[in-house]
This record gives sequence, structure tokens and C-alpha cells, in this order.
Amino acid sequence: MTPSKTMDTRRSGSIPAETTLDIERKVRRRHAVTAILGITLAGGLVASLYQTRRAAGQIERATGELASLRSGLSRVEQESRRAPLIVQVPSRAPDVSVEPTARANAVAAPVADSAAAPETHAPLSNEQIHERRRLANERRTELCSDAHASETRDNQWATQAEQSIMTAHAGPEFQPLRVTTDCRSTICRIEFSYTDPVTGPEAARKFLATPAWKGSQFYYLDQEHQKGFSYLARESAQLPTVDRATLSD
Amino acid sequence: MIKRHISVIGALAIAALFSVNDAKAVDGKTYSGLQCSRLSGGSFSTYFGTVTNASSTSDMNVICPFVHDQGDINSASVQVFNRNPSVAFSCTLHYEYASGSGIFGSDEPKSLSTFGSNVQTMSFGAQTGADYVWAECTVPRTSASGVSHLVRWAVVDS
Repeated sequence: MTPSKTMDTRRSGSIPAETTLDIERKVRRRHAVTAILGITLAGGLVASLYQTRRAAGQIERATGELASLRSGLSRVEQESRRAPLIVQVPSRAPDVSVEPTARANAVAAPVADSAAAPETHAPLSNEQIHERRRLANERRTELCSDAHASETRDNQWATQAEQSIMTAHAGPEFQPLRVTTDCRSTICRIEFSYTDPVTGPEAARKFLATPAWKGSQFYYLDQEHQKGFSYLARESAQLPTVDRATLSD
Repeated sequence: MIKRHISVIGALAIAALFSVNDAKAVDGKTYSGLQCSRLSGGSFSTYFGTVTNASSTSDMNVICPFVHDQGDINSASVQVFNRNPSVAFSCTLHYEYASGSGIFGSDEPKSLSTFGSNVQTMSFGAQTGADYVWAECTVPRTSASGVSHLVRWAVVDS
């Protein structure tokens, strides 16, 4: 029954109502899909535009910050270039016959100025680090000198300690050195000098590298003036050290 | 999703900014005992990352470079196994600072009087004014109680 009916329809050329409805539905569906695609594309474009603008804003802000950082860096560089001009006034090789207290104090202010400038904790330049270390060592010289000077002599220990120092450095390798000792109760101050510019420095280095006993030691060797000193603490005693906080006064 | 990524990147950037700005941040470093070289005596040997003295008749002196940054050393330490009851495991921390023709120097000795199976630490104080820093240690000879090791050394600087 059904096949014959179909044949009839084809022959007559008319389209059945059901088929027309199907076509209309398909068309509507296509329109809907196209609309959704369009909306999605438009949304994507808007989002992309928004992101681009935002990124542009961020780049602009970052560029501003970079410019500000560059200007800060340039300021720090200028300060670090200025710093050595201020601190190079005193001699770099302290005269060991006089404790470098005065020199340490003399350079304290300028170094503190140049080092304290960066409240932002900007890194110190190599020159500033160098000066800070020099200052620390001069301060420690001063501290050791004061501690030694404030001690009274413990005769028994001091005599024995002085003898140990002389005995330990009685060998031929120390011959170029002229050594004097001043031991108190926990600290010995040892001064040495030499005149031979060839054998003297080597003897001095060996002298400092082989203290008479294993104690805390702090020394200075002035190769230009061919002399130096050493503070050697009694075993189990400690030499004073520098509080780093005082370096930025 | 994008927002979350931006937040994460922002947080990282802020963290990086703080870490860069804070030049006084404390920085610790630990190095294996293998950094040390034999100076004299003993028989240099290694056990994993540690240095040991394989000799049963001679103590070994070693020298170890102490690496630090541009700032000051706040503290330093050497960790060891001291297995010899009659010989002290000792280390001296040295620093030097050269300026023109002058050289400042400092020695800080430490010694362990106790021995045992546990790791022990020799602690050193701040080395303000130090340029280059190194330690010289005596690793005791091997005894019936075992082999002594220099395990590691560490610095905290800022």
C-alpha cells in the first residue's frame, strides 16, 4: 500500500506537508546554530579585546615601574661612584705603630653616609663592601688594643706565654724577624718587623700562620712598612669582635 | 582560569620583588666535606659525600674553602663524626682581608673534646670584615671506635 502511494505523489509533483515541516525545522536549526556561533565569536572578540587592553595597561604600568627602577639604579650607581672619593682620603695602609682608632673614626661618617643611603636596602657596591670590611678590621684592631690595654699582667701566665712565643719562633725561618711581646692576663700583643724585603715577608707570613698555641688571633701585616702586629688570646679565651650593627652608625 | 593565572603570576612577581629589595635577607649555604683538600698527614679517603682519614697512625690536616656572598658571615659551622677518644677533632676558621699593601687576618679555633657515634657541630661566630674565608681542620686517625669524618660545612651570611 505505501509504495504505490509514494509513486503517486511523485507523479503529481506536489510536496507532502510533513516534508515541508522537516525542511522548515532544519532551516530554523541552522539559523539557531549560526546565531550561537556568531554570539560566541563576538563574545570571544570582546574578551580578546578586553584582555589586550588590560595587557596593554599592565605593560604600561610595568614600563613605568621599570623607568622608576632604572632611575633608582642610576642614583645608586652615582652614589657608589662618589663613595670612594670620600673615603680614599685617609691612607689605606695604616701605620701599625699607632692603632688605627683615629682613622677608623675618621672614615666612619662618610662610609656610614654612603652605606646608609639606601633605606630601600639597595645592594652595596664593591667599593662600599671593600670600605666596610676595612672599617670592620680597623675597628677590631681598636677593640683588641683596648682590651689588651685594660688587662693587668698575670705574671705566671704572661711569662710562660711570652717564652712560648719566642721558643715557637726561634727557628731559622723566623730569623729575618725582630719580635717583641707583651702578654697580660688573656691577651698577648706581638709586634714584629723586618728589613730584608725578600726573606722578611715570607717569614712574617709563616710567623702569623703558626701561632705559638691554638688561640684566637687577629693580625695585621703592613708589607710597605715591613712590620705588623698580632693579638693572640689565651687558650679558651676570645678576642673581641666587631658588632656589624656599629658599622652603619 | 586566566584570572587565576594572573593572580599566581602577580603573587610570584610580588614575592620576587620583595626578595630582590631585601638585600639584608639571610642566606644559608651548605657544602659537602668533599670540598676540603688534604694538606698534610693521614690518608685522604671519602665516604659518600664526607671526607675521612683512613690512616690509623696519622692525623690528617685538611683545608676547606668557605664560600660566602658579598655580605658578612653571620655564623659558620662544621659538622663532623669524631670517633677517636684520644685525639681532638679541631678546626680553625680563618679569614683575610687585603687592602693595598696591608693584610688583616683572623683565626678562630674550635675543638671537640667528646667523641661518639653521633654527628657533632663546631660553631663559629660572625666574621665581620672577612673577605676570603677558609677552615683548616685536623681529622683524627682511625681508632677502634671507628673512622672520623668531616661531613659538611655551612655558612649563614647576609
